[in-house]
Amino acid sequence: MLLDVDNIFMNFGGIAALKGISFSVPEGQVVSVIGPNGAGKTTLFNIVTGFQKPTAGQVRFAGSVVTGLLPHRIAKHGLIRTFQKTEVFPALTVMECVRIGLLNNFQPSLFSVLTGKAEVAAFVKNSVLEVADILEMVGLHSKSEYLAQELSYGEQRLLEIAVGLAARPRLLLLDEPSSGLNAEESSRFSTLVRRLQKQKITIVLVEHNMNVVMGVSDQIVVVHHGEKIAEGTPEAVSQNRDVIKAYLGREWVTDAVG
Amino acid sequence: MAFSRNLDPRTGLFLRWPVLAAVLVALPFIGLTGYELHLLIVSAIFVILSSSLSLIMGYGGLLSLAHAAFFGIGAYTSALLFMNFKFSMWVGLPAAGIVSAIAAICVGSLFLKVRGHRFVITSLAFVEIMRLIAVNAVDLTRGQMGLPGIAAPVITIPGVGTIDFASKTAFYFLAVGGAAICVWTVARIVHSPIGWGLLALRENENLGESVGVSAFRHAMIAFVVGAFFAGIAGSLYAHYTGFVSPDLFFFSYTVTMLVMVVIGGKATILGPIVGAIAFTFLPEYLRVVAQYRLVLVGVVLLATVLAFPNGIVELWSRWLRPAFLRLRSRDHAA
Repeated sequence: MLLDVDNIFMNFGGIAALKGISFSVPEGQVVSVIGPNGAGKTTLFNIVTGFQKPTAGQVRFAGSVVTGLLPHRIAKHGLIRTFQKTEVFPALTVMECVRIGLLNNFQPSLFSVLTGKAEVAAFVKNSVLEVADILEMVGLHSKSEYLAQELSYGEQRLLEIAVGLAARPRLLLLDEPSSGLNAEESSRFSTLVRRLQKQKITIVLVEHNMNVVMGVSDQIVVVHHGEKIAEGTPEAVSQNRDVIKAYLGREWVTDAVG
Repeated sequence: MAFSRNLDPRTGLFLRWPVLAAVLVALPFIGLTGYELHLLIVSAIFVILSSSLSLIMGYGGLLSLAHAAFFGIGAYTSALLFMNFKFSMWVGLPAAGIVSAIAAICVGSLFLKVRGHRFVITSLAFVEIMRLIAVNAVDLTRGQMGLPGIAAPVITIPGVGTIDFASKTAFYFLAVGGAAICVWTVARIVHSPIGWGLLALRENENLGESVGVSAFRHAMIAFVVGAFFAGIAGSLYAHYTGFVSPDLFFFSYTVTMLVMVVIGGKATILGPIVGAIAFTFLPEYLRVVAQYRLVLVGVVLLATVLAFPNGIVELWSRWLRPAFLRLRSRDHAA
């Protein structure tokens, strides 16, 4: 397993946001975490990527325990996230934004910068090509000189993924990547996810758009009130009584499943 | 696109470095008065302060009010080494930079864990603490009386003669040399991957962290390099004026540096240089209007901020450069 989330508890004051969630993500798969609003999905993401510390439980990535590490330390392991509320570097150009993602792979010391070490120059030179490749892949190559804040909402979402890709993720956690995208943009997004999967990038999605979820997922984990209520293939989960109850309410269960 | 050019006027600068160097070397020999030369030396010292502050504030986005503290620490280090141990500026100058940098590492490991208002206030508190130490540690600093008689260095080159840096012309080269090294270092850093990390810190710290950019590491690099050069500026100041006192820690120094960075153009290389020169010369040349001087400085300040939110360098990137390019393309067409 590439990612193991093991019995995570999270309390905010007296409120239990997560009550012992466990799931695993095998290398190379697309796993979606779904659940009604307030189920604890984003909290789970924040814990996995080090932005919040869990009350109890453990996160293991590629064999090492990453619980409690700072976000930039976790990123170094190849565990990269995007944010639910789109995050970019507003006053920088698209090219400059993506370039920052490359820093996950190489960060020169002050000494090597001031003495002009060849490895620094080589990194800077390669960064131009590498950024161009990534922008090509997400379809933003024509916008590389635009400021991030000048992009449309959908383009900013793609830019955020591009920044994440520049960090060379082994696992990419995408927090509601298709929210706010129109139908055409979200189908483009689904295509992008499949392309990433071909490149051996493991993906964990938090998503509300069921077309996207059903279209791209190998496994689905369903979270409700801070607990895992179901887990399995898209077909199995969509037939699950507890899932339908959580999403639609009790009275729909008999009608839908019979 | 236009905006990003304002952020980095590197591309818009047609002033070539050899030309600039030649002008700087020629300046003391074109018949400037001693007073004008004095203003140039003071400008050069302020260029060091504003460029190094721009690294922290313009690129890193950390509004540090502690810069005057490192300036003062550098000045006192140099002065005390001279008064107590007769160490000349050749020892005092690097020592001032290093002591300021070490002080920055110590306080930075506390301050740089907080952001926003809390960082601004803690940095302000640090200057005040340093001022109180300078005032009250009378045995060491002589308190309000200050430390007078800090001499400029002298070099003797066998067969050539001696250069006494008490002469304004000689000290001019020292100060301009220091400013050049500072600007070069800052430019080198901001155009390197460390500079990308600083921009990440300024623009969106969480996003930076999520792709492996340690906010703390980058803040610390900017803070320590900035403090090092503020210390160097302090040492130059001490050996130039020959006198240091707790007044160096006054808030007005901090404000002057901030104004120079903001008016010149923060997060640009050229901006803080322009700002430092403009706001050294302007208040002096406005002495002709006697008591209206500071009122007029205020008016100029206000007008500049309103007309050029990104600093005076915007004048170049937004208006002069496009006009220049139009002219050149017309010449090519003809």
